[in-house]
Amino acid sequence: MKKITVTDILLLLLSLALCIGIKVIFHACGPKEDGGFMACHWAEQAVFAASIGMAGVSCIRLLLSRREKAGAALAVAVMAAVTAFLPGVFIRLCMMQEMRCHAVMRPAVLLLCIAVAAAGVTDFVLSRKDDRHDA
Amino acid sequence: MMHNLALRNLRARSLRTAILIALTALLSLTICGGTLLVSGLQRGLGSLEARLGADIMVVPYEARTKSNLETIVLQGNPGYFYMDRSRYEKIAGTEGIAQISAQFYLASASSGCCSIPVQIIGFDPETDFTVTPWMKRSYEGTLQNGDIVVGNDLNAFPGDTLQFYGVECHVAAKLEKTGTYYDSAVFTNEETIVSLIQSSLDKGMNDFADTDPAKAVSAVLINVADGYSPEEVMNDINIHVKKVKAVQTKEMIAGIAGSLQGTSDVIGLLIAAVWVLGLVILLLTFSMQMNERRREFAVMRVVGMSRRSLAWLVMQEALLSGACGAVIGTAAALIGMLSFRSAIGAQIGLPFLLPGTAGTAGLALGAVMAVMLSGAAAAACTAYRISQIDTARILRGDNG
Amino acid sequence: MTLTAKQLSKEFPRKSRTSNCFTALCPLDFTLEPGKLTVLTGRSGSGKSTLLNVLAGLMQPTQGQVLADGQDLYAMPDVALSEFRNRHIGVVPQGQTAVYSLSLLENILLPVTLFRRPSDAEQQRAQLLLTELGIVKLADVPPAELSGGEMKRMAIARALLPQPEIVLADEPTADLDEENTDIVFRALQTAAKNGAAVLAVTHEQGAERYADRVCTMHNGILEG
Repeated sequence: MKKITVTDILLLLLSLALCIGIKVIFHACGPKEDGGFMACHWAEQAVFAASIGMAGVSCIRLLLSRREKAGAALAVAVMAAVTAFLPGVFIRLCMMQEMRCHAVMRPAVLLLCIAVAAAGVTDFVLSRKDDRHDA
Repeated sequence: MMHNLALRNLRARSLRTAILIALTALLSLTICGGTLLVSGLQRGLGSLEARLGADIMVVPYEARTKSNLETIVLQGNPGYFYMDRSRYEKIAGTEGIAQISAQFYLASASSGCCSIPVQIIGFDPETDFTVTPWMKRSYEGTLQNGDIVVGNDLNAFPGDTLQFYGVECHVAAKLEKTGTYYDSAVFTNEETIVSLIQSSLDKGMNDFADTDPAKAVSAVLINVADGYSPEEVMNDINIHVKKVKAVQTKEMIAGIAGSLQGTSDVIGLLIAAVWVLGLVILLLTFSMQMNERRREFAVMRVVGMSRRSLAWLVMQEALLSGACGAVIGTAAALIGMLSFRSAIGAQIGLPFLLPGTAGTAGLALGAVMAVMLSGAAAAACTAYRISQIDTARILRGDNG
Repeated sequence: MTLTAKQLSKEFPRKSRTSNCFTALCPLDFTLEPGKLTVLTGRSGSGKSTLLNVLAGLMQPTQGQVLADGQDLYAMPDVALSEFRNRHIGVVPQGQTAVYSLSLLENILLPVTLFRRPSDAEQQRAQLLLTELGIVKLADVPPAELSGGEMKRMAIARALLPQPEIVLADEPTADLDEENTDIVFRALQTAAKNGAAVLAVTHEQGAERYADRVCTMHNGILEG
């Protein structure tokens, strides 16, 4: 049985929170009156896709060896860092700052991504420390 | 070494320390978040007052006056109404007017993709005394035909081009944040807005189809001369100029000020309630700790710790856990408030402008200090009681 | 250092039908001489622990003085008395006494670490005491995991670490078996041989054989 640490759980839970939250809680602006999508919709889709990737890797890494787990944690951290810039930087959002994509989605994604990245880096650093102890 | 001992004691009782930290974090979260909220509302109101910048607003009577005007000016719902320019001339003839300027309103259908309708406000740069002083802080030049200045919340920047009713407008400047609906408005000169209104009429997207844009104004802003009261001038206009309604801006804001007071009171009460509750729980926690650790404190006395040092040890523990909680809570409040300020402002439905960096830092520091002082005050009672313990009695197992 | 009690008495307020106070110590004179192990015996409630606590500067007497080389302990302000106790008096309190956030070794070093970083010599002495008292393997164990006897031996090591000139031990062998009782009394004997004035309050049968002097308390009156 592989040892599951607090950061393992945290990484998985935060990735899942991003994955579910982006669709349920802090989603982008609704469709336009003509039914078409606004630009922020695509930012939401991109964040959703990236968060599925993060959650997937966070889940799979539980089955890996300690070294592989550490590498995967770092990969999730990098993915989170990139995802943080998806809304507003890589993919533009709506015209008004007061609109939902600016007011809710962007800060929520940014905060959760920072949390995921922090958890990933912490896990990586702790794994390295354990490695040194064992050596 | 003493400092280390306080840390060790906190670490050894991790659950109790976690509860203390969580409690102080909650206290500072409430205090910092609540104060920022109240401060944001007060600054928002101040900002709105400054932006209205006139004593009296005169609008066409058909605009159903106050309610309609408030919807536009205070709640930020884009709208428009017009009256004939001849009324402006009549109003200008009223006695007691120091400054007078006309404004022109138009609501954009949309400014392209991903937008909600924008309020477009036209002003006469020759006579304007409300928009120009604010605009001067961000834009020194003179607006040319087709130039617009955008509010801070609009995702457009100098050099960009926005299209309204098919007319391309060049963004000349972006205004500084006010926390009011003006942040999502677009400002332009009289010439440009007349062409925009004409374009909206041409496209059949203006409710006032029979308006001649060249002869129309939406509102007249007035500053009253010294020696005249706004009420006097307002009544004069309402009596002598037909089909218009003059409103004192102070009266318009009174409703917001009332709501703000109510909201501030509720937040103040919440802060007070959490503070009192937090203090009581802190007092109880420290008191329980005293009983639980009586023998430990007695040992400290036996090995040569003075009463004063013993009290200081307890204070150090309280201050360390308090500081930790206060910083966590304040940081959470800052992150939450700063990240979601737009959402919070929209939710409250009142003008909302958070203090600047220095102001926010000051408030955060104040919250940290307040919580640390509360924790220290709660611990001080326990520290004093601990300093007075009867070592010999405790060591003999006598609790009395 | 000689510890002298002059006309020492202690009364506790206690409401009863006959009297408003309970006399724990009748006026007594007592001298604890350097280089000697004094064993104080007596029945429970006879006033032994009260005398020890008064001598340690932990309980203000109702009347009389406690003089350490002529210096009145109770005339000192609290800070000075605490410092004096830290430097000159080693107290082994009754029952289990530990700071639970520290390890056994750290508890032993506490009289030193309260004020400064322990020197190498003090660290070595701590190791020596741990070995002498048979708790060397428990150095890093937290007090919560120690037995009553181990905790008692830790308290003795803590009292002896700074090599105090006066050692006051209240029931130092209360939770110990015969073998460990012997170890503890020998440690106290060693302290006395090294020049300390040692007082051991005990119920222990046979403690007399370690003593240079034996005294008995009976209803607050000191005999011997």
